Amino acid sequence: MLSPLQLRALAHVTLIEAWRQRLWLVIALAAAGLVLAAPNLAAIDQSAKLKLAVVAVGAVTGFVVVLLALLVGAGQLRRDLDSRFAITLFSKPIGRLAYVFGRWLGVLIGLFAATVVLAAAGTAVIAWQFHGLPAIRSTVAPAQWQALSALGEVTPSPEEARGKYLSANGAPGNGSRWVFTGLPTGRDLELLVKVRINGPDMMEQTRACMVELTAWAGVSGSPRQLELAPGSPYGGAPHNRELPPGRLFLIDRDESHRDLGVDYCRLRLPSSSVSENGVSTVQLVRLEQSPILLLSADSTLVARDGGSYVLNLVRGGLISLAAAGLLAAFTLLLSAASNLGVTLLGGLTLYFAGNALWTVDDSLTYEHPSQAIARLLSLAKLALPDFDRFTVSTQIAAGHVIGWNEVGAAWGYYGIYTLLFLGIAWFALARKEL
Amino acid sequence: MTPARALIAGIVCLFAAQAVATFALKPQRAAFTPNADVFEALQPGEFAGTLMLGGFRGLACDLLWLRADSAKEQHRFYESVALYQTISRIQPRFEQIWQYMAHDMAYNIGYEVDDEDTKWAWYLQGVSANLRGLEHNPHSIRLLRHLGFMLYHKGDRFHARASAMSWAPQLNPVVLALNQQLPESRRFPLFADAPGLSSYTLGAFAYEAAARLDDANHRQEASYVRRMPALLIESDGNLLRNAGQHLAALNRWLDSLDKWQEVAAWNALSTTDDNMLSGQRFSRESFERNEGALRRRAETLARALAPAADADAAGRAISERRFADVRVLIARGGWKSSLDRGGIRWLDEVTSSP
Repeated sequence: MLSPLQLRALAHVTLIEAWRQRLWLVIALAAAGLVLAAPNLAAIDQSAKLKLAVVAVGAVTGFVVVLLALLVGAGQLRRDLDSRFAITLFSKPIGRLAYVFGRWLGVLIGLFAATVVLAAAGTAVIAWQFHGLPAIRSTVAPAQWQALSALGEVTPSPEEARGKYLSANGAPGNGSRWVFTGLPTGRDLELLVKVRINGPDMMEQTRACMVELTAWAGVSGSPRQLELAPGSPYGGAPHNRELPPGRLFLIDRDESHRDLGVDYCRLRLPSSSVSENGVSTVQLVRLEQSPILLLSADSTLVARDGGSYVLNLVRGGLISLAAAGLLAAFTLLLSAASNLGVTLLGGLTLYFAGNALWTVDDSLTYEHPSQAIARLLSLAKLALPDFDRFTVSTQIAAGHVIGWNEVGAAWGYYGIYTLLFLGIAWFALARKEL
Repeated sequence: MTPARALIAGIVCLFAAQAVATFALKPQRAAFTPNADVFEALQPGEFAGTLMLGGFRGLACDLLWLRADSAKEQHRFYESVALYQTISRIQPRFEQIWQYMAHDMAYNIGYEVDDEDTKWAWYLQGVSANLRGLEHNPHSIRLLRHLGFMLYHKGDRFHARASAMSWAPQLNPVVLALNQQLPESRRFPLFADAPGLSSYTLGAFAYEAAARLDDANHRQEASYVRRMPALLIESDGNLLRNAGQHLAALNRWLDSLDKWQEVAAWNALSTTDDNMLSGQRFSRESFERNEGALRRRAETLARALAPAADADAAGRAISERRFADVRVLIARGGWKSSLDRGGIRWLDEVTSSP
């Protein structure tokens, strides 16, 4: 059975031993050097530098966490076995399950401390260099999405169009409506708009279209023209065109553009456009004939404050920790069964393979492997953990909130592997004559 | 002394050494070190970083590279660029890092931004990353090739901007580093600190540099770099012709034809190296496809531009590959600088008639 006292004692021992090893200090110092150098990355302006710095801090922190996850726990378990200390240890009332979980927990606590220290150092340097931290936003997706014809007819968008695009072309006046529910009331909100635009000239580098955006409280109300929010990255008149009042120019943004700070046109959604029960309808009308708007269910989003950068970074750290926990569990399993060299190699192999699942996809899609190889690759894709599943650094750099639901999803996903590996590690230890 | 104190003393010494290297010794290094060593040496900060990582340096590069590759594959270019820059600090001699970083900046991030000024700024950042890579890897033909590719291929979009700026501050350090490795007869002159160089001319320089470095090192890394200068100089001539500067265009075409003769001389070299034999075969095909066509165009233009008395001689000289003779005829003067040829005109072509 797992006793909390035993777990705590073993986690404590793991931490103390790791502290005495000093290996972590060298790695942490090097990582701190890289984190401190992050704001000096080369980019064209301060905002691009900030984005690069945020990604670099996240990446370096992630690298250190992975490296320590591979080294610390496995090294200690192997030493216990090789030095026969395990014989003394297991003669005391300590279960093998508690031993494995305790070691793993100790590693995890150490990793969490390293994450917090590096993230705090990175945050402090970024805040000092850039005189502020990136704004983080959470978004509310619309509950309903409707198509609007040029004659003003509103039809619910077909169910099969969900996740796809609705093409608004032909005579101007058509567009789309989105109904938001559960919005906060009593204060102005921010509406984010991003659409794909095709034509009139496919060779034109920047495709744009004049539109009108209105909103009203509830499902039916009196429409009110929405204005650009200060600091919106685009939406105003381009230098060679005039913009009538109440109109906006949207520019083409495809799904690869995900930065909430620079890829979305930002508008002010006044509190009067949100009903008392938090419902608001937003309507986009296309005002030019030639450009074709490709609208989707999430072309408009309502932005809310996503909390502080530091809190998001900590939540991001918890996601990285879930992946590191998996690696720590895997190396504990390997070290229970083999020597330290094999353990490190095995841990790294799993990490490399889990980071390169896209190449498996590529091989399956483009290289037309034989059926046997295709099945093997499909199995590998299914069985291997995907370490690139949660893109924490990019998400924070793009101003997206890291929610607790994502933390939960990460622990749920990696946790299954972790439990499996710890279970096998326990089995491997149980079979040893100690 | 206890181990903890020894460790703290060690760290303090490390930082003190770093401070001395950065503030006291760095200004003196240029005076005491030969030029090539300056380019080969790591910066003090980079040296400290790599030293501290010790044996984990390779592992760190592998792990970060893996993530960068994955980010690039999924179009998260800011992440890939940030990771490439981090790797370049850990392992600045890793040529591919500089190449990928430069490419992501100039092409991928440059594509994602909208306005022309920002695209140009990212292009310059990309070129600058490639040049920084060359400072750390002065023997790298791969980086010279990539520089040439970026300068002419992506630069094709920014002709007016590229011609309007002076490239001497960026390129002259590379020229100096290259000249250290080349025999005296093959060295490059420094770029004049003035605008006026087209993207094609700049690209041709980088490919020419790669070819000369290849020769100096007795290597055959890529045969195509030998014909790229000829092709790019011809494109430069085409630009001038499209702008209505026909005599200048003829001069550039003659430069290109000279380069083709160098290619022909390389094609004729006797070798048993399979790599070089294969390169020579492709090079011969390219020569046959391009050189004759250019010679005929140059001949037609020369006949039209030359004074009536010299027209036939100039035409024949080009046809018989006596390009030095044509230059002598041009130097005698009396040639039209532009040809009002009528017919369809290029959109950016400047007419010569007042």
